[in-house]
Order: sequence, then structure tokens, then C-alpha cells
Amino acid sequence: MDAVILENVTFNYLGAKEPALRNLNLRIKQGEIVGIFGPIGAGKTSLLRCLNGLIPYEFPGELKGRIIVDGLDVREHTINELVRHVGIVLSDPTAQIFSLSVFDDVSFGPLNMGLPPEKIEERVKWALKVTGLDGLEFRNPRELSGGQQQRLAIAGLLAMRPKILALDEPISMLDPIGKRSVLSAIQELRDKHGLTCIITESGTDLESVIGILDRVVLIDKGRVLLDDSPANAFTYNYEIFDKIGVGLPELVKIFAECIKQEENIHIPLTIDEAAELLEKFLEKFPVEYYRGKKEASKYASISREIQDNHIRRRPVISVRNLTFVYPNGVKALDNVNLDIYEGEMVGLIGQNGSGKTTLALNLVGVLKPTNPDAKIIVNGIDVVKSQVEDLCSHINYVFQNPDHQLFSKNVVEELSFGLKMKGLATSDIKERISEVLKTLDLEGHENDMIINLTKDLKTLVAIASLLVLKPKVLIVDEPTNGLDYQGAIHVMNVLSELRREGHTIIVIMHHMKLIAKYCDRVIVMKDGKILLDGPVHEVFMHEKELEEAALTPPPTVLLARKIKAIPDNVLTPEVVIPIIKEMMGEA
Amino acid sequence: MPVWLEYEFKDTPIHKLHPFTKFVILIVLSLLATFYFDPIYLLIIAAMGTTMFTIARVPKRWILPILPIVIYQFAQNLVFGVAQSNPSLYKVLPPEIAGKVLLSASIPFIGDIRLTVGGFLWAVSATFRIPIIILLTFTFLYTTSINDLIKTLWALRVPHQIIYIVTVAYKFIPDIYRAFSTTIIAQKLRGWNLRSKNPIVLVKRAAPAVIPLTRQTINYVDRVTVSALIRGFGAYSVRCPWKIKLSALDLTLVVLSILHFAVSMYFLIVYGKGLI
Repeated sequence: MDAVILENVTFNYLGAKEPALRNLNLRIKQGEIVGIFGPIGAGKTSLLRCLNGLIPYEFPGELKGRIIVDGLDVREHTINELVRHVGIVLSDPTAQIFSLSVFDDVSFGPLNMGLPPEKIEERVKWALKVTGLDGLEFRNPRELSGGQQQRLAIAGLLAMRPKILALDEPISMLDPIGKRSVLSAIQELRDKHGLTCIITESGTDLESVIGILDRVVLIDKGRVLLDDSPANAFTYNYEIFDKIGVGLPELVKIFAECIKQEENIHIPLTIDEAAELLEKFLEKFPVEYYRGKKEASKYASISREIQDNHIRRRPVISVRNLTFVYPNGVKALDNVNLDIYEGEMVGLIGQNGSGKTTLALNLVGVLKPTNPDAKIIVNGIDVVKSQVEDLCSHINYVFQNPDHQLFSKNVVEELSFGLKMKGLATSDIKERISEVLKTLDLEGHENDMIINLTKDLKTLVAIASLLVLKPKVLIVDEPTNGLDYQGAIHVMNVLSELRREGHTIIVIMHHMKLIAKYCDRVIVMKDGKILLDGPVHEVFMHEKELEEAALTPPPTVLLARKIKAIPDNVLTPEVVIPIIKEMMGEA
Repeated sequence: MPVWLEYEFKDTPIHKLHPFTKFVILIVLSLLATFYFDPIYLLIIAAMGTTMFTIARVPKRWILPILPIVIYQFAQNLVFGVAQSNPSLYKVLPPEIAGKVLLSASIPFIGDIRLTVGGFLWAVSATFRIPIIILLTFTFLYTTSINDLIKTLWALRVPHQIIYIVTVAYKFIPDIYRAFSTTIIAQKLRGWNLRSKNPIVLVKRAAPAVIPLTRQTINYVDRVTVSALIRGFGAYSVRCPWKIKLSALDLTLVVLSILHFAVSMYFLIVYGKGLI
């Protein structure tokens, strides 16, 4: 039986020039897990909004076509009726959490349904159990990890017993272990309770999601481009994912570029499958390479180069004995010691609440250490004794959400704000702005209205607005959040370029793929302490410690570890692919 | 970390009280603070409020934002106090004391103005009641979880539209406070400061904080509305599943509070106790 039927659905938001959905047809069977993939603005969220009547009741516009959900025609039922049948989980779990204890929050939905207390309690207990949150009933949701918060949001909807669960980029804000826990909860809901699940994804988490999907639906500009099983979609139509900006899972990229041309195989989607296939495939090439990990030393030189650079360069940030305790007694940083060198691009990773942001705010002088013997020296300046305004030309911090920062009408006005506050002459302001616009590839956007900018451009404008102050060090918090793969790559390329120009970049993020691709050093934090610190490939070797910090290395690293012929220290498909091709060529 | 105006569970006697009891105490003391003009009576109410505030372990820093309001209100009330210089306005104070001039000045176009003892006491009491009511409200907010409050409101048959407003406000204030703090930090990192003696410049300089905050507030309201809708808020005609069950202590406090109010009002109306 079909749980969801969309027939010739076209929707145009009130006042929008282009329709968000165009003649869209889709059927989803009961108990299926379907991934709706597409870049930002493809129509994924609009599609989900159609399922529980948010479109057209809450988001007005012109809706054409037929939408049947759990046997109900959406046009003939109100949102209030439909929420019993379809639960929608938003990407930001905090937006959905209302209450201040886990139990209270899950009971919010059943409470609204007017159920008797004993029934509410029964449902809450069930929802917490199936989402693995039992035992946390009386915790404040704010104290939970990102993964637990998202599972709480799911539990809150499950307690209303919907038959369909629609999740809008549910893992985009989570650390790797958080992603895994949410996805396994979704899989269990389908397997044990027969729930139909629809998950949207815009690219950066493709590999995490595909493992649990029965079907992949690729949409762009409101149209369905592809509807197939994940194996078929990535074997026969992988080019289209890259073409529309969703990107490809790393394993697919490796197999598509190296092996697909040679053999007619189904592209594997899991590490184990991929390792087995690749190992078998490489046996055909009995070349020098295939005698163990001989060539590893070639790549290990990268690590030595970084260490040599540390000896040659001076630290631009030097932190000693940094401890920070919040007024409510929570120790967010515990005796942190750290040196960061000029021109490094450092990934700062760790679970939510591990102390990353607190460390960053201490580095920029917004928070001051709570122990008197702490020392923070940035670019030769004592941060502990300096005011924020005196530090902003040496070190600066780009917040996760550019909307916290941007307020002007257009890009030039936004960029000139900080310089005007510094009292610079108009000619200097103009010069600095044009310099930064050029560096960040924003030329041509000078007079664009801030409000109309896409999310990746907003992020770049937020970076630019600080870069005009010429800080030596830039800390960027989750710059790829809310972006599709193409947008994320654009932003990271710009940061990489800034590093090449001599800036020191510290990126706080959860995307291990991007850390592996762009950073040369990674610092792992846990419970306010530095757990690991070193070149990326060395840190990724410590799988056990990473697991403790709720992290996992990216798929390429895990694959390389299982293949005898590939050096352990490779990090990205861009490195693995030439190695494999070289082997094939030599044979 | 919980922020300003956010509930935090702590093992205190005030946290353990039923929201209904706390609500009754809040209303009784706030009403008495509104009716009283005698600073001594207000001091008694303030002592009760401060005791509750202390027992509930409400963070002391919560008080800081209300200080400028109190200072501003006192200045404003002193101006109004000047208009209360007629001794016949006072029911309890003897006219010779009420009319005793503390300060006098001659102002062009207005003429002579006088601040009398009566006017001064009026200004003090009109100002004093503000921190008392705020202190009591803060104690209530800090010690009452939203779900407990909702259950109580439902049990009291409050219309669900009003409950919705309360729910959103409870979530909204701390979240917006967080957004505001982040915006302030983000702008400070761009060299922003609000310092200026020129009020026009001051207003202009507030834009980097006000505009992002306004935009975020609008987005926030949208998101919360959608979140509430998908959690079925207001979806069903709710058969009130809760009844107010008060413990012996709660019941005693409710009865005592109501008695306190009734007796105080009797003495206030009949004998003018608490008036000046």
C-alpha cells in the first residue's frame, strides 16, 4: 500500500516568481525509507511541507495536483488532523524542543492531543525507549548531545504515533556518532514498527544516509530527476548527482573513476563491501605497489613537512593552562595547552559541548579564563589583558549563523561597517573592501542586497566583513552548516585560499570529509580537554579515541585501512584515485 | 547554561511547590505591593519576596538588568511626586508632615515647584513596588517548568490560545536573549561599540544589534509556530486531563496567602493600613 502519493504536484509560494515544485510525481510505499536528495532550493523542504498540510495552510500559495498521505487527501484535511499521520522533524532540533526536561518535551504532543495522563506516560516511555533515550527522562534537553537532541525531537513526534516520519536534513548539524545514532534509530523505527520514513539531504551527509535507504529520489528545481534504489542510482546515474551540486559519496567517487570503466559492477555503498571488491580488483594488478604499504612513506612526508614547519614557524597562538568555568559551575575548559602556527589550517572537532566554542571565545577575548595563571598570546598580544576591540585586528571569529552578524542593506555597506568603526578614511575603506572582495571571489556582488543572498554567499560576506579588519587568525564556526555540497566546497575553497595568503585558519566543524580534504592539522576536544592533536592522517589513526569523542574518520580513510595496497595515511578520494590508477597503469 | 528568565531545576523548597501555589503567592504579593503606598508595608512585602528569591537560589545576576529600569522609574516618579504636593491627598500622613517641603525650585514658564515629604514618599513607594513585583516574577519563572505551568493553566480551564501565548513566551524570552547575546558579541568582534553622547548617533549605532535581532525574532516566531503546529498544539479540543492536586504544604500556603490578602485588604480599605 502506498503511504504517500503525489500526483502532478505543482506549488508556487505566494509572491514567488518560480514554482518550488513542478509537476512532481512520487509514490512511497508503507514501511519504505526514502531519501530525497537535491541541492539547496531544489524543493525538498517544500515537498515535506506538502505532506502534513503546512503547504498550503501555513505557507500559502498556489497548489495544484493531488497529495494523498496515509489515505487522506491533504486538501480535505487540516494540519491538526494530518499531524496524527505525519510527523515532520526539522534540521535544527532546538527549534522543536519546547520543554525543559526530556519527559516533559516528549509529552508535549500527547498532551496537546488531550490524552489521559496514564496514556501519555505510556506513550512517552515507548517513544523514549525506541529512540534510545530511556534513562534520560529528567535531563534538561540543553544538556544532551546534538544526536540526542535530534532523537528527542523524533521521540516528541513518535509519541503522537504518526505512520509517516518526514525528516528534513535530520543529521546536518550532528557529529558523526550523533548522525549514526539518529540514523540507526530511524532504521529501527522502520524495521520494528513499520514506520514510513522520508529523509531529505543536500549532499554533505550523503554517505551517512545512503546506508539505510530503500530508495533514492533526486530532485532539482522542483522536479524529480531520478527515482531508483541507491545501488542502481549510484551505479548507473552517478554523474547527475555531481552535476546538480549534491556531490558523490567518497566510495562512489573512487569506484566510478577507477573501476567502473573496467568492470561492470554495482558500485558498493558500504566500507566492507567496497574493501572486498577493491581488494579483489587490485589482485589483478601484481605490481610493485602490491607488496604491502610500501608507498606510505611518500605520503607520510606530509606529516614530517608539517612538523618541520612548526619548527621553522613561530606560533601565532600560544595557550597555557587555560581553564574556564561557567557561572553555573560547568567546567568547559580544563587546563588547555596549545600552540597554533602561522599559516596553518586547523580543524577543531569534538562533540557538542566538548568546549570548542568556549575555547574559540577565549581566544578572541570574549570570554576570559577563570584561572589567574592562564596565558593566551595571539600574534604577540596578551589576550587575557586586552579588550575585544583591540584584538579584532589580530584574531576574529565568524559565527555559525551569518544572520547574527549581517545587518546592512548591501554587501559593500556590510563590509565597510567594521572599518568605519575603526575610523578609517574613505579611500582606505574602499581599497580594503575591493581587496577582500577579490580574495573571496565576491566581485560583482558589491551591491547585492544582503537579504537576497544565498546561504553560502552570506557566509562569505560574514567572513569578508571580518577579513577587512585584517586579522592574522580567523576562527570559523561550522561554515558549511545549512549548505549543499557545492556551497560547502565553495566556502572551504575560499578559506583554503586565505590560508595560502598567510592567514591562520581554525575551522570548527563536524564534517570529517571536509576536515580531511582541507585541514593540515586537527585538534580533537573532549570534556574541555584536548584529546588528540596532530596532522589529520595521524589523528584519524586513533579510531578508539575518536570514537570516545563521538567522531569517526571519513570513508576514504576507513577504506584505505582495509586495503593492503593503499597507504594508511591517505585522506581523500583525490589521493586514492591516482594511486589506484597508477597501479592499473603499471600493470 | 540557563540564561536570564530561564527555568532551571534546583532542589529548593520553592521549586517543589505546586505552580498554582506559587501563582497565588505571586498574585497576592504583587497586588498588595500595588495597593500599598507606605514604604514600611512595602518593605515587608519586599522582605518576603527577597526571602523567596534567595531560597529559590535565583541567580543574582538576573537583578542587574532591572537596575536601570528602577533608576529611570525613580527619576520619573520624583517628577510625578512634585505633582503630589497637596497635603489633602494623603489619608494617613498628618498634613503638616505630608506638606513639609524637602526641595523647591523656580522653573521658567512653569513657576515654583516643591517636592514635599508626601510627594517623596509617593515617589519612593511607586518605584519600590517595581523591583518587588519583578523579584517575585523572576522567582516564579526560575522555579516553574513550562509543562507544570501548562498543566496548571489547563486545570484552571484557561483557553488554549492563552496557554499557547504563555508557552511561546516561556520559550521565546531565553532563546531570544541567547540570540541577542550572540549578536552583541558578533558585532563587538567587528569593533562595534554603543558609546556616544549624541542620542542620534546612539540610535544609529544600535542598528547592528537591533536589525539582526529583529530579523531573527521574526524567523524565530515563524519556526516556533511551525514547531508548535507539528506538535499538534491547539489541534484538539483538549479534555483537561489534569486536576490540581495540592500537597498539605501547598494547601496551607494557598489558604494563608488568600487569608493574608483578605485581612490586608480589610485593614487597607477600612483603616487605611498601608496607605500614606
